[in-house]
Amino acid sequence: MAATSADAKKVTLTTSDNADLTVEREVAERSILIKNLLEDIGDNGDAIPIPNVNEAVMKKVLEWCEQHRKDPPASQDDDADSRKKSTDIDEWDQKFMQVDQEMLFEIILAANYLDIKALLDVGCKTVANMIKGKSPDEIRKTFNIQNDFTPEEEDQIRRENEWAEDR
Amino acid sequence: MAELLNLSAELLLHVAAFLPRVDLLNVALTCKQLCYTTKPELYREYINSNLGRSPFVPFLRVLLERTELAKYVQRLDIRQWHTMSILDPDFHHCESRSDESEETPWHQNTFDLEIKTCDIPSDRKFCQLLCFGIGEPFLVILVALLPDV
Repeated sequence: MAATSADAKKVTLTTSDNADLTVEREVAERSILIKNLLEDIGDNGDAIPIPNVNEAVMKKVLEWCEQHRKDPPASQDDDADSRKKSTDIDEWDQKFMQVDQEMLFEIILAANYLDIKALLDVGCKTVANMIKGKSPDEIRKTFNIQNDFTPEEEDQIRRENEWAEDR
Repeated sequence: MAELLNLSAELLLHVAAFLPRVDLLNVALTCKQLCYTTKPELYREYINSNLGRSPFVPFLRVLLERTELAKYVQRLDIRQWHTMSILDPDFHHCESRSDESEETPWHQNTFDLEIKTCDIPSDRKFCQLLCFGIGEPFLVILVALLPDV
């Protein structure tokens, strides 16, 4: 079923800015969206349009897919596992995610669109790690967020969330 | 330009799923959008198994005032609660006896001596127990507030 490495099948992806990227099918199929597309339309050699992702982001995503091409497919239990709230990220992925915020969120959006759950998790964990241990004001500064609460509304939220505070 | 607040509610919730409670509380205070989108994660679990932490009453009050939040609660993990025995240390021993027994039953501390327990409407009994901070009625309300119960 799987092609041998010698004549590994390639697919071409056309990004939103009309760049053609050619990669091995196995790498591209880390994306469930692309995998399903290839299964549905059959691999007729035509370029697959990816209208929601530009070249720079797609290259970055494919770099991740290349590194993780041999990972076992996500199991059904993974959802339950993510509930453990672990934000551990392996070393390669940590380095991979050392990008500016714009690229980080582009990767998250692309991983979501392309249906690459493991990459989406790494992206969201990276954001979670940027939030952890920060005060509301520090979080606002980190992500360029405007405080749109009136002091009264802020008080109300504090009261409402009182039950969840460890005292 | 891709920013945190451009992420869909679904993706923001995905980020929130990796945050411990203390950070969720801080996120809720940053802005309206994050406060709103991360609520389901904040309310997903209610755990008060550590004594003195997350007491019943404030949590219940929020759910009673904002019943739409109740649908987010998926897990309750509740410590041993104050039970009848604080009103009547002998409660466990007299459980098997009828309420009309000769000895002073617990409710005589609460209600008129002349009234038999069976004459007190059960919702009044319920409210009375609630006022005393007895665990069972809190639990009944909590469980009743859970969706699909």
